[in-house]
Parts: sequence; C-alpha cells; structure tokens
Amino acid sequence: MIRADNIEVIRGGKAILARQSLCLKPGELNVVLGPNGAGKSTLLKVLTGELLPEQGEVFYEDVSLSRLDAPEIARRRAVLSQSSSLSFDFSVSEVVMLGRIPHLSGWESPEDRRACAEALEAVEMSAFKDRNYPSLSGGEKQRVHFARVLAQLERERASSEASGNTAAAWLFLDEPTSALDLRHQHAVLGLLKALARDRGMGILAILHDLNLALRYADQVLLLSHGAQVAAGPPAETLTTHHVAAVYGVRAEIVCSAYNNCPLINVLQHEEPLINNAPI
Amino acid sequence: MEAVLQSLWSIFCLKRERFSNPRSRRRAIVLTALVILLPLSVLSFLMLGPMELGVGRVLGIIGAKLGWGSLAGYAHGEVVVVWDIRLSRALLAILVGGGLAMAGATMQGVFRNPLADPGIIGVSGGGAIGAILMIVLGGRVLPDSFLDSFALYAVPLAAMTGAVLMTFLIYRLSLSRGQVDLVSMLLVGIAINALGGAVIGLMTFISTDDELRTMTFWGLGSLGRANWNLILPGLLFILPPLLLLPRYANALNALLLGEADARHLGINVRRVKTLLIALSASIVGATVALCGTIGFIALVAPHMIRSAIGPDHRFLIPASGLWGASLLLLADLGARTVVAPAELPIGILTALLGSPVFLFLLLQRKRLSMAG
Repeated sequence: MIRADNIEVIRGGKAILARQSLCLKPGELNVVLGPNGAGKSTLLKVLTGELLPEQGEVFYEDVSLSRLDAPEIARRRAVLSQSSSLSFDFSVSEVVMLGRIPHLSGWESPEDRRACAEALEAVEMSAFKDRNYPSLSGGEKQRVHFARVLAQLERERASSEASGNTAAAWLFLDEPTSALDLRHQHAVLGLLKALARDRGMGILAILHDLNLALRYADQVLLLSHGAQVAAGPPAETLTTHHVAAVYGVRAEIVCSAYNNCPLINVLQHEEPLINNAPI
Repeated sequence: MEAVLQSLWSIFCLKRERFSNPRSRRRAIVLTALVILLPLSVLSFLMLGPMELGVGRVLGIIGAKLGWGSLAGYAHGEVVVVWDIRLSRALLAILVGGGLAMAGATMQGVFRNPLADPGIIGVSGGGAIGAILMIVLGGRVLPDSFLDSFALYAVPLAAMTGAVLMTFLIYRLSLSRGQVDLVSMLLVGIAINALGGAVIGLMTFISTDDELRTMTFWGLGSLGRANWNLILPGLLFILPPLLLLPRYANALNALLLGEADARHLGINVRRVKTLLIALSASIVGATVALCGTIGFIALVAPHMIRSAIGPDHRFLIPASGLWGASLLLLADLGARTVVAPAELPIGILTALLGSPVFLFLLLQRKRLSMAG
C-alpha cells in the first residue's frame, strides 16, 4: 500500500497542493482527473519522490519514501513521465532495455531480453524494434516509453518464484494517452486494467478523458486548484454536479445501450472559453 | 588495458546474444576491427618516420628490451629510436587519445549533448590555466627542493584541478531548467577560452625565457615531449579514472532519458553526475598537462563511434577509447612524417580533422531543431 498524509506543496506563496491525503492499494487502477494546473502532476511527483513536499509524508508499505533506497524502489516501481527528452540515436529495443537498468549488473541476460520483447509486444511495437527511436512519431515514442516502464516492472520469474517475493509492483503514469490515437488509448487503458486485476499491480494514472476514466478506473480522484473535490468509484465521483463545479461545463450522463457504461456528454460551456468565436 | 579487455568482453557478450539484431552485429564487427587496428597502428607508428625500420627489427628490439633475445645486432641508434623515442611516444598517444575520447564520450553523455567537446566548452582551457599558473607562479612560491622532485606531478595535478573546477562551473552556467542549453554551453566555452587566453597572456608577460618555452607548447599541443619519465605520471593520473568510467555506462544511458527519468530508474543522479564530471575533467586536465591542448579528438572519436554502433555507453566508451587511441597514433604519425624531418604540431592536424565535423554536427542540430 502507498499512503500519502496531508501533502502540502507551496510555490510562490500559493498552495499547489493543499492537505492532500491519498491511499493506493495493489490491484487497483486509480485515475487522477482535473483541469490544467489542478496539481495532478505535482501530486504524482510527490508520490514518486521527485518532489519533496513542504509538509506531509509518503509511505511505501509503511516505510517513509525518504528512507527507501533508490535502486531498490526502481525494481518495483516505475514512472512514465509526461515527456522524455531523448535525442540520442537509440534503437527502439535499446530504449525499452533502459527500463531493465535497475535489474542489470552490467550486461543483459536472456530474461531481460524476454521482458523487453514482451513489453514491446504488449504495446504493439514489436515490428519497430530495430527502428531508430528519434525517427518515430510522438504517439509511437509514447508507446515505446510505456513499454520501457512495463519492462522495468517485469520481474525475473525464476527469482521471484524461488524467494516467494510477492511485494506489489507500482506504476505511475502522467498522461499516458496524450499522444495516442483512439484505438491505442483504449489499448493502453485496457492493459493497465489487466495489469491491476491479474497481476495485482497498483496503478495511478493522470488522464484528461473523463470517459476513459468512467470506463476503466477503479478509483477516481478529482482535483481542482490543488484540493480534492471528490474521490471514489468513477460513477459516484464524476457526477454532473462535480463536472460543472470543476470544469465549468454543463454535461449530461448517458448510458451506453451496448455495455451499460456511463458516458459524459458535454452540453455547453457555462462560460464560453472563446468569447468572440465566429458563428 | 582495461578498455581492450572491456571490448573483448563486450564482443563475448554480443556472441551470446547471437547477433539478434543488425546493431549488435555491427557492434561486433566494429569492436573487432578496433581491437585489431590498435596494435597495427602502434606497429606502424614504431616502424615509420625519418628512420624506417622493418617489422622484424622493431619487434626484435622490443623483445630484447623485455628480456627475450639480445640487443646484439641492432645499432644503438635504432634501439634509441624504437624504444626511447617512438615507443614512449606511442604509449603517450594511446593514453592521451584513448583518455580524451573516453572523457569526451562521458561528458557528452552527462551534458546530454554530442557537441560537448572539452576543448570547445573550456575544460581544456581550465586545465591549461591550472598548468600555467603552476609553472609560472609555482616556481616562485614553492621551495625549489619540492619542485625538483615533484614538478612532474605538480603540473598535472594543477591542470586536473583547473579542469575539474572549470567543468563544474561550465555545467552550472549552461544549465537552464534542468537542461543543458546548447547556446549557453558554447557561449560559456567562448568566455572561458578567452579568460584562458588572458591568463596565458598575462603569464607570458611575467615569465622567464625558460618558462616561456614550456608554455608556448600548451597552445598547440604536441606529443613531442614524450619520454619514459612522462609515462609514469600519465599512467598514474589518466589510467585510474579511465578504469572507473565504464562502470557508470548504464547510469549514463539512463541519464540520456533526462534526470527525472534516470532517478526513477534507481540512479543516484547527483552523485553519479558529480563523479562523472570529476573523472572525465581530471582525465582531460592530465592530458593537457602532459601534452597541451589537443583539440577535437574528444569530439570526433565518440561521434564516429556513435554513428557506427549507437549511443549505448557500455560499447561507446570502450570503443571510443580504442578508436581515439588509434586516431591520435595515426594523426601523430602523419604529423611527424608529412614534413619530415620537421614536425607539424599535432593540434593543427586534429583541428583540421575536427572542425569540419563540429560544424557539420552544429548544422545538423540546426536543421533538426528547425524541422521539429
């Protein structure tokens, strides 16, 4: 379990995150939602130890994050950042292999190569494995990095079976679908859901698409101006009332006739974002 | 040489991989070629020059010196040329060329910029400032008895200190929002090289004739000072950091993703970065102390290797070391044969070779950033 207690982050006299507490359980897909500047990425940075909060503390299985050893954490927790600035000529499979660094002592083993091949397969990038990474499109790059964090969390089967090591793996993703087409958005979320359900992985993803959250999330956290507006199962959290309060748009919730999944349909902006739009 | 062992080991590892992709096949070919090229370069370095000697004579003299066979049958002049002049110079070229190339590859990884050449960004300038301050001021401040016994070590130490301090300064100044900014990096380099020029000028002003002669050699860079006395400090100051560098190859690979991502991969970014800057800068400083500023080897060798086998530092660092050593050996062979019996300063030759590569890289970057 990952727990955050009363996190407060202040920048320039303004609270970016105010007294936020949070609990992540293994086997759950948590989705953080909120408008731009709500503090979603800041929360993720605090949870992964990239940012030290002014107040509050983060605990991984009841141990304070600040007291944990970085290489040890990296073997069971991966983070997919919003953008990676990689301009060197790595091949796609080499980028994915970078995810195995926490497990390597020098050179890669067949196990590591298997983990990378499986991760590439999972994001449908196997055909690209020998391509030059910088020559890929934005969405393809995003899928390669997704494969990289998947490879990072792949444990050596032999060693985890032998030691009976069942410590949960954790995955944090900052807008993993921002550059993806419709099909791959659903493929990524479906994969995350499966990792949580079948492998007991604890996952936290920042998303912008409320309908993706309604369809795939186990828990939703709705942030606005650095404070929690609502948290809980998606259907109970993403109500018309909350959507109006957080995003300033009027919406209805309809039910898909096909699979009963609730869908948010935006009716109109309460305050139009562009005032002088033609027509 | 660790670099050689390291690359043999990488070839072995590649074999286990059964050349699963085109890049690993290329790596195996390139590394094998480099491992073969280095002894061939040394051999031609020993054979060619104003006095040309056959393979058999060269090997015979070296064998006799190492205790196999006798020196009878070889002219005293031949022995001196092969053993005292050319072999010590070849070893110095290997140390300096290999060291510069490996330090360059490392710096380019830490700065995340293939244009980070220690000469251009001012690291070598820092080393030269340190060395010259020690030569001119050290002689006035430190007791003669100290200098008599430690001069050979004091200058490299001063140069290493200068280079390391300067590199941290450059890194700090060219950092903007956690990224090394190319323009600031190059501008800082210009400023530091100008400062270096001013310090050197100032020291020329107050130095004696003797000191002046030692100093002029820093500007051009030359292996002409090589003798066996220089090899010991060379080994002492260049080899240890060189042996440490390959251990951080995986950390350097992770750093290419950016510092935040490297941290998420379990790398202690601050410690690794500090260590790598200190190690690579002290290598550059030591080479400056031994043979002045030899430009562009640290840029050209890693660049050529990178475009041949990719940026993976586990292969890039040892391969750059091998290629840098061979490159400097061959360049120096050219420098002392082209206008024989006179000798071209090697710095001129490497600059002729390197500046077009630098310009090409710069233009390529410009095109890329315009396209993106």
